Amino acid sequence: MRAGRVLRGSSMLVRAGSATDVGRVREHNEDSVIAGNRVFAVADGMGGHAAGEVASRIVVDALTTLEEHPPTRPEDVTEVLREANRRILEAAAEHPELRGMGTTVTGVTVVDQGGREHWVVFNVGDSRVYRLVDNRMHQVTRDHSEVRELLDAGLLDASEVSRHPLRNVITRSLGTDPAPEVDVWVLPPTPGERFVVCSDGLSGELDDRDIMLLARQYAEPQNAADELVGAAVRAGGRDNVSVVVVAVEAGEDDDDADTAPRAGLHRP
Amino acid sequence: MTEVRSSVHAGFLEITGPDVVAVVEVAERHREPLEAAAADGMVTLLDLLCSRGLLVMPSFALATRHGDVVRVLLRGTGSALLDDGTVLEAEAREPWREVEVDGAAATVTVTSPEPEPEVARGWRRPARLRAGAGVQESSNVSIGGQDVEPEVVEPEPEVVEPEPEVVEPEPEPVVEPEPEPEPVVPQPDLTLPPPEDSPGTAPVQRVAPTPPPDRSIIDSVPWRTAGGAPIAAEAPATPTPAAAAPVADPTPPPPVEHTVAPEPEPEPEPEPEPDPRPVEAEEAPVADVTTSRGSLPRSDEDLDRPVVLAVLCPAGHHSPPHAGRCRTCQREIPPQQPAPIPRPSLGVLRISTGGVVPLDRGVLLGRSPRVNEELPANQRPHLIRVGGVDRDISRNHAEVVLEGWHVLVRDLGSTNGTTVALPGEEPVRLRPTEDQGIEPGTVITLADEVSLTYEVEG
Repeated sequence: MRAGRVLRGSSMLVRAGSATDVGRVREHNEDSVIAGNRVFAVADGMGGHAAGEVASRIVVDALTTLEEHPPTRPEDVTEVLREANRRILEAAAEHPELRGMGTTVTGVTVVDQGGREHWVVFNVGDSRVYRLVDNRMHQVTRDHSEVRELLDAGLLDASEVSRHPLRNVITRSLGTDPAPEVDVWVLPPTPGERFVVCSDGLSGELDDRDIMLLARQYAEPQNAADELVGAAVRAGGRDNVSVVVVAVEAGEDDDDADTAPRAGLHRP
Repeated sequence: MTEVRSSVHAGFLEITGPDVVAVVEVAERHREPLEAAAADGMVTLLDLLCSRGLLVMPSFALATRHGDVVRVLLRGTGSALLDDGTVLEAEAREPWREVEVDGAAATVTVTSPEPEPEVARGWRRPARLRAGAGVQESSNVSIGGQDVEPEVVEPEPEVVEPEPEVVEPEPEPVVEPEPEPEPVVPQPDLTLPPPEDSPGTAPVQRVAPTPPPDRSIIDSVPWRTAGGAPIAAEAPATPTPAAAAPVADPTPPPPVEHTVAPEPEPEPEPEPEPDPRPVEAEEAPVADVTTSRGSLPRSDEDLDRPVVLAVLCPAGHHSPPHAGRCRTCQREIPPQQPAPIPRPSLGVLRISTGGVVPLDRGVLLGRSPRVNEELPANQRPHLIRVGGVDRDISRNHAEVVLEGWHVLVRDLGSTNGTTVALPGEEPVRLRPTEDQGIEPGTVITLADEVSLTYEVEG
């Protein structure tokens, strides 16, 4: 069991757990997962035969370098993903059977900003990062998918998504030329918050409420990840299911006290 | 006397006031503020339409009477039809074309383009979205995503209330599984217990509704919650059969169905014979295979970011139209027609205490920065925690806002103030909630404690 790590610039302890399952229908598990000390991510590969596995593995391997060489800025994270994109294209060029492979990637890592560690949430594709705090949950990332665009345009109702013919078409992925734009959000850690990083095999089977209930029900992140994956498989398991749960230990937020007015600063 | 009419197709709204008739390419949720503006006349309506800047102003056609003549203003794909068959178009004039129609014409009809599969102009919706628009009478098509949000109400800024850290004693494992039959309404942001009155609105339509009662959310960023962002038509509650507690499905795994990549040039009007296996009555799970659109023709812009007009320097950097020199490398920019692109990152903020924040979105700075969590992901700023234990910096202290190509700084009513030093100038203290445009080299200082430098990297 991982002891967890303390975020610099605070006394907050972070722990994580992960789980993945091939599901009930697919023959291969094309998802790859990383739950290290500072990188927590899921990649959902696609392509014929085992190509998707190769693509998602390349991305996760690239992210592993962030464990050894901690990123100092959000740009470093996107650079690692651009590098992964190059490697996928190279591999596909060398091995014709891998041609057309690609992968999503989403996750959260830490960078130093202003002397304190901040989360950097990153995303390409339709895997998701949810954030739970104060008994609430919302999706941090924005899906790069056809149905998301149709929903935004008001051309599709949320209830139609699961049946829509374009439901599996994503609008950005790694393995493309030119490289995709990586969405990035920086946010400070908050005591008690949790992240659920997942492939669409989870969000496609469970609705947000189920995900939230299960993610907060188990104190141990590893148990939460196992239960989430198990529930998605039981609910249908039409796709590979992968989940990383990241938990910031509850505690006091030193920074949430009132601001002290400072004498002498109030100029006319 | 010439009669003024309008004719509208999906993607446009018809807006009518006492002396102005218009069709405007914005989402349905903007109807109310636009109609209110139109009630005050043409100038007020135009003022609202360009409130986000001329570059991102939507397409429109509007007509207003001026004595005997009818003035017709046309932008983008808006057009006007005269009774003699003459069609007036914007002809790519920026920011709009004005035509005066004299009393000889019996009718002037302002009209929107028929939805068609071809993208005629860069900033229009992708063809594949328009093609589907026939499904709905008046579809919520907006330009460049949500960024044409007309901001209407300007609630007065308040200082953030100290948040009484709600520590509900939480019986950990006693989250009981929901009673089986209770239909669950999917919501974008969930609270336990779910608010009774929560309408089953589709997630995307719930753009920053009224703040939840139990939290104080970024009260000091008034424009974010402005007017509670008019909520679009409420979708009927859609109960999903999925029970809270996962129930084992006893059926054996079925044959694998591979979702096919839609063939290129599909123009998803198709609705290919309704899926042979409707999902509700799903006897057995079917494999979902994700496809990349990479293989499909890339006809659309990136809807996640606002669209700006840009010119290219010889090194390939983007700059605002009319820029003489590249904003990144200072090379001279050859004359050219500006093209609409998703806005690139406008640079970075380098923090004096370490760290670099990309300006690919806005940035909220403070000792414990928070935004309304229901803001859609593409409108959420970076949240950067700055300042030490001495608490000179306010929780939400200042924000850097991106408007088109402009980078603006706002103090959010902080206790100890924000100063801005433009390059080569003395620091000036910002008045609360006043916007200050900044240029590369500007230093922003929060409470005399932490400073940030705006840089554009070559």
